[in-house]
Amino acid sequence: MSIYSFKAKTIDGEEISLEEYRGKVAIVVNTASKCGFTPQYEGLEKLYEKYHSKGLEILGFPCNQFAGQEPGDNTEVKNFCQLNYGVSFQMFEKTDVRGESAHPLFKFLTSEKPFEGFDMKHPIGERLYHALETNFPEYLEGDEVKWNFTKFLVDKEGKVVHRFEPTSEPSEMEAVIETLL
Amino acid sequence: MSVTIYTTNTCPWCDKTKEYLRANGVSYNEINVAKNKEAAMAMIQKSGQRAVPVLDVDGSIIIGFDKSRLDKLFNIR
Repeated sequence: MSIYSFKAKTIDGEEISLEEYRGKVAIVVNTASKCGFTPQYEGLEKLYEKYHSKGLEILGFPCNQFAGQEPGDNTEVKNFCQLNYGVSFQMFEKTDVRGESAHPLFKFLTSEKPFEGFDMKHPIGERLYHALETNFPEYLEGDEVKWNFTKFLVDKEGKVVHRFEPTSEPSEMEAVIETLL
Repeated sequence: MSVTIYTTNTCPWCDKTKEYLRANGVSYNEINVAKNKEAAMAMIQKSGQRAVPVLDVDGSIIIGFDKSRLDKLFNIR
Protein backbone atom coordinates (compact mmCIF):
# COMPACT_ATOMS: atom_id res chain seq x y z
CA MET A 1 0.00 0.00 0.00
CA SER A 2 1.15 3.55 -0.75
CA ILE A 3 -0.28 7.07 -0.61
CA TYR A 4 -1.38 6.54 -4.21
CA SER A 5 -4.37 4.51 -2.97
CA PHE A 6 -5.99 7.65 -1.58
CA LYS A 7 -8.08 10.45 -2.96
CA ALA A 8 -8.53 13.95 -1.62
CA LYS A 9 -10.39 17.13 -2.52
CA THR A 10 -8.34 20.18 -3.43
CA ILE A 11 -9.22 23.60 -2.07
CA ASP A 12 -11.09 24.26 -5.31
CA GLY A 13 -13.37 21.30 -4.60
CA GLU A 14 -11.92 18.98 -7.22
CA GLU A 15 -11.32 15.39 -6.12
CA ILE A 16 -7.96 14.07 -7.22
CA SER A 17 -6.19 10.75 -6.83
CA LEU A 18 -2.81 10.95 -5.15
CA GLU A 19 -1.70 8.70 -8.00
CA GLU A 20 -0.96 12.06 -9.64
CA TYR A 21 2.10 12.32 -7.41
CA ARG A 22 3.68 9.04 -8.52
CA GLY A 23 7.34 9.58 -9.35
CA LYS A 24 7.55 12.71 -7.17
CA VAL A 25 8.96 13.21 -3.72
CA ALA A 26 6.06 14.56 -1.64
CA ILE A 27 5.57 16.29 1.69
CA VAL A 28 2.12 15.80 3.21
CA VAL A 29 1.47 18.33 5.96
CA ASN A 30 -1.47 19.41 8.10
CA THR A 31 -1.51 23.19 8.20
CA ALA A 32 -3.32 25.56 10.53
CA SER A 33 -6.24 27.19 8.83
CA LYS A 34 -6.99 29.51 11.72
CA CYS A 35 -5.26 32.70 12.59
CA GLY A 36 -2.19 32.90 14.72
CA PHE A 37 1.46 32.12 14.52
CA THR A 38 2.11 29.89 11.54
CA PRO A 39 5.67 30.58 10.39
CA GLN A 40 6.17 27.15 8.87
CA TYR A 41 4.23 28.18 5.78
CA GLU A 42 7.17 30.35 4.82
CA GLY A 43 9.65 27.53 5.36
CA LEU A 44 7.58 25.10 3.31
CA GLU A 45 7.21 27.65 0.56
CA LYS A 46 11.00 28.04 0.47
CA LEU A 47 11.47 24.27 0.18
CA TYR A 48 8.92 24.21 -2.61
CA GLU A 49 10.60 27.02 -4.51
CA LYS A 50 14.00 25.38 -4.14
CA TYR A 51 13.11 21.79 -5.03
CA HIS A 52 9.91 21.88 -7.08
CA SER A 53 11.78 21.87 -10.40
CA LYS A 54 13.71 18.80 -9.19
CA GLY A 55 10.50 16.90 -8.41
CA LEU A 56 9.27 17.94 -4.96
CA GLU A 57 5.55 18.39 -4.35
CA ILE A 58 3.91 19.68 -1.18
CA LEU A 59 0.36 18.71 -0.22
CA GLY A 60 -1.11 20.98 2.45
CA PHE A 61 -4.21 19.91 4.38
CA PRO A 62 -5.73 22.73 6.45
CA CYS A 63 -7.06 21.39 9.72
CA ASN A 64 -9.03 23.09 12.45
CA GLN A 65 -8.64 20.40 15.07
CA PHE A 66 -5.84 22.23 16.85
CA ALA A 67 -7.31 25.67 16.38
CA GLY A 68 -7.20 28.31 19.05
CA GLN A 69 -4.65 26.34 20.99
CA GLU A 70 -1.44 27.83 19.68
CA PRO A 71 1.47 26.83 21.88
CA GLY A 72 3.03 30.27 21.59
CA ASP A 73 2.67 32.88 24.29
CA ASN A 74 0.58 36.01 23.80
CA THR A 75 3.34 38.05 22.23
CA GLU A 76 3.20 35.68 19.30
CA VAL A 77 -0.53 35.95 18.76
CA LYS A 78 -0.67 38.33 15.87
CA ASN A 79 -3.52 40.47 14.64
CA PHE A 80 -3.57 38.93 11.20
CA CYS A 81 -4.38 35.66 9.46
CA GLN A 82 -2.07 33.72 7.23
CA LEU A 83 -3.27 33.26 3.73
CA ASN A 84 -3.57 29.57 2.85
CA TYR A 85 -4.20 30.42 -0.74
CA GLY A 86 -1.08 32.47 -1.29
CA VAL A 87 1.15 29.44 -1.05
CA SER A 88 2.06 28.08 -4.42
CA PHE A 89 1.99 24.41 -3.46
CA GLN A 90 -1.22 22.37 -3.56
CA MET A 91 -3.72 23.00 -0.77
CA PHE A 92 -6.60 20.66 -0.06
CA GLU A 93 -9.98 21.13 1.60
CA LYS A 94 -10.25 21.48 5.33
CA THR A 95 -9.54 18.01 6.68
CA ASP A 96 -9.64 16.16 9.98
CA VAL A 97 -6.31 14.49 10.64
CA ARG A 98 -6.91 12.69 13.94
CA GLY A 99 -9.70 10.79 15.68
CA GLU A 100 -12.61 8.87 14.20
CA SER A 101 -13.21 11.46 11.51
CA ALA A 102 -9.59 11.52 10.33
CA HIS A 103 -9.03 11.30 6.59
CA PRO A 104 -7.88 7.74 5.70
CA LEU A 105 -4.69 9.23 4.25
CA PHE A 106 -3.68 10.46 7.70
CA LYS A 107 -4.58 7.16 9.32
CA PHE A 108 -2.25 5.53 6.81
CA LEU A 109 0.56 8.07 7.28
CA THR A 110 0.54 7.80 11.06
CA SER A 111 0.39 4.00 11.04
CA GLU A 112 3.37 3.91 8.69
CA LYS A 113 5.37 6.41 10.73
CA PRO A 114 4.54 6.37 14.44
CA PHE A 115 5.16 9.24 16.84
CA GLU A 116 8.69 9.27 18.19
CA GLY A 117 8.58 12.36 20.37
CA PHE A 118 9.15 16.08 19.97
CA ASP A 119 12.47 17.81 19.59
CA MET A 120 12.60 19.46 23.01
CA LYS A 121 15.45 21.70 21.88
CA HIS A 122 13.19 23.42 19.37
CA PRO A 123 11.89 26.82 20.62
CA ILE A 124 8.32 25.52 20.88
CA GLY A 125 9.27 21.99 22.02
CA GLU A 126 8.81 22.42 25.76
CA ARG A 127 5.82 24.74 25.40
CA LEU A 128 4.04 22.46 22.98
CA TYR A 129 4.60 19.44 25.18
CA HIS A 130 3.30 21.24 28.27
CA ALA A 131 0.36 22.76 26.42
CA LEU A 132 -0.68 19.29 25.32
CA GLU A 133 -0.02 17.76 28.71
CA THR A 134 -2.25 20.39 30.32
CA ASN A 135 -5.04 20.74 27.77
CA PHE A 136 -5.09 17.55 25.72
CA PRO A 137 -3.16 14.84 27.57
CA GLU A 138 -4.83 12.21 25.38
CA TYR A 139 -3.14 13.77 22.32
CA LEU A 140 0.22 12.68 23.67
CA GLU A 141 -0.81 9.05 23.55
CA GLY A 142 -0.69 6.95 20.43
CA ASP A 143 0.65 7.78 17.00
CA GLU A 144 -1.91 10.18 15.63
CA VAL A 145 -0.99 13.70 14.53
CA LYS A 146 -0.22 15.79 17.61
CA TRP A 147 -0.34 19.31 16.25
CA ASN A 148 -0.28 21.62 13.24
CA PHE A 149 2.58 21.19 10.79
CA THR A 150 3.32 17.51 11.21
CA LYS A 151 5.19 16.74 8.01
CA PHE A 152 5.31 13.34 6.31
CA LEU A 153 7.94 12.80 3.67
CA VAL A 154 6.99 10.37 0.91
CA ASP A 155 9.39 8.88 -1.65
CA LYS A 156 8.93 8.48 -5.39
CA GLU A 157 7.14 5.13 -4.91
CA GLY A 158 4.58 6.55 -2.50
CA LYS A 159 6.21 5.05 0.58
CA VAL A 160 6.22 7.11 3.79
CA VAL A 161 9.89 7.43 4.70
CA HIS A 162 10.05 10.06 7.40
CA ARG A 163 7.85 11.92 9.88
CA PHE A 164 8.83 15.38 11.08
CA GLU A 165 6.99 16.71 14.09
CA PRO A 166 5.90 20.37 14.44
CA THR A 167 9.16 20.83 16.34
CA SER A 168 11.17 20.28 13.14
CA GLU A 169 11.56 23.24 10.84
CA PRO A 170 11.03 22.69 7.12
CA SER A 171 14.69 23.60 6.56
CA GLU A 172 15.72 20.56 8.65
CA MET A 173 14.14 18.35 6.00
CA GLU A 174 16.46 19.43 3.21
CA ALA A 175 19.15 16.78 3.65
CA VAL A 176 16.66 13.91 3.51
CA ILE A 177 14.77 15.46 0.60
CA GLU A 178 18.00 15.68 -1.38
CA THR A 179 18.73 11.97 -0.92
CA LEU A 180 15.24 11.10 -2.22
CA LEU A 181 15.14 13.35 -5.30
CA MET B 1 -7.30 59.40 0.20
CA SER B 2 -7.57 56.02 -1.50
CA VAL B 3 -7.97 53.05 0.83
CA THR B 4 -7.88 49.45 -0.33
CA ILE B 5 -8.23 46.51 2.04
CA TYR B 6 -7.28 42.95 1.09
CA THR B 7 -9.30 40.35 2.99
CA THR B 8 -10.51 36.78 3.20
CA ASN B 9 -13.98 35.78 4.37
CA THR B 10 -12.73 33.66 7.25
CA CYS B 11 -10.34 36.10 8.92
CA PRO B 12 -11.74 37.78 12.03
CA TRP B 13 -9.00 40.42 11.92
CA CYS B 14 -10.22 41.48 8.49
CA ASP B 15 -13.72 41.97 9.88
CA LYS B 16 -12.36 43.86 12.83
CA THR B 17 -10.35 46.20 10.64
CA LYS B 18 -13.32 46.89 8.36
CA GLU B 19 -15.58 47.53 11.33
CA TYR B 20 -13.07 49.94 12.79
CA LEU B 21 -12.76 51.85 9.51
CA ARG B 22 -16.54 52.02 9.10
CA ALA B 23 -17.06 53.15 12.67
CA ASN B 24 -14.66 55.99 12.03
CA GLY B 25 -16.16 57.04 8.73
CA VAL B 26 -13.34 55.80 6.50
CA SER B 27 -14.57 54.47 3.18
CA TYR B 28 -12.57 51.75 1.49
CA ASN B 29 -12.40 49.46 -1.48
CA GLU B 30 -12.32 45.78 -0.51
CA ILE B 31 -10.57 43.04 -2.44
CA ASN B 32 -11.30 39.48 -1.30
CA VAL B 33 -8.26 37.35 -2.06
CA ALA B 34 -9.66 34.07 -0.73
CA LYS B 35 -10.71 32.68 -4.09
CA ASN B 36 -8.79 35.06 -6.31
CA LYS B 37 -5.24 33.85 -6.72
CA GLU B 38 -4.23 36.73 -9.00
CA ALA B 39 -5.33 39.32 -6.47
CA ALA B 40 -3.60 37.30 -3.73
CA MET B 41 -0.34 37.29 -5.66
CA ALA B 42 -0.65 41.04 -6.28
CA MET B 43 -1.17 41.56 -2.56
CA ILE B 44 1.82 39.38 -1.69
CA GLN B 45 3.97 41.33 -4.12
CA LYS B 46 2.81 44.66 -2.74
CA SER B 47 3.22 43.78 0.94
CA GLY B 48 6.04 41.25 0.76
CA GLN B 49 4.19 38.68 2.86
CA ARG B 50 1.12 36.42 3.01
CA ALA B 51 -1.03 37.60 5.85
CA VAL B 52 -4.34 39.47 5.75
CA PRO B 53 -5.72 42.03 6.22
CA VAL B 54 -3.44 44.26 4.17
CA LEU B 55 -4.34 47.92 3.86
CA ASP B 56 -3.04 50.10 1.08
CA VAL B 57 -3.54 53.74 1.99
CA ASP B 58 -2.20 55.86 -0.85
CA GLY B 59 0.69 53.43 -1.18
CA SER B 60 1.41 53.00 2.55
CA ILE B 61 1.03 49.36 3.51
CA ILE B 62 -0.36 48.26 6.86
CA ILE B 63 -0.41 44.57 7.76
CA GLY B 64 -2.91 43.22 10.26
CA PHE B 65 -5.26 45.17 12.51
CA ASP B 66 -2.72 47.76 13.59
CA LYS B 67 -4.88 50.16 15.56
CA SER B 68 -2.19 52.67 16.42
CA ARG B 69 -1.11 53.07 12.80
CA LEU B 70 -4.70 53.37 11.65
CA ASP B 71 -5.37 56.02 14.27
CA LYS B 72 -2.37 58.00 13.11
CA LEU B 73 -3.14 57.75 9.40
CA PHE B 74 -6.80 58.64 9.73
CA ASN B 75 -6.48 61.05 12.64
CA ILE B 76 -8.68 58.91 14.86
CA ARG B 77 -8.60 59.95 18.50
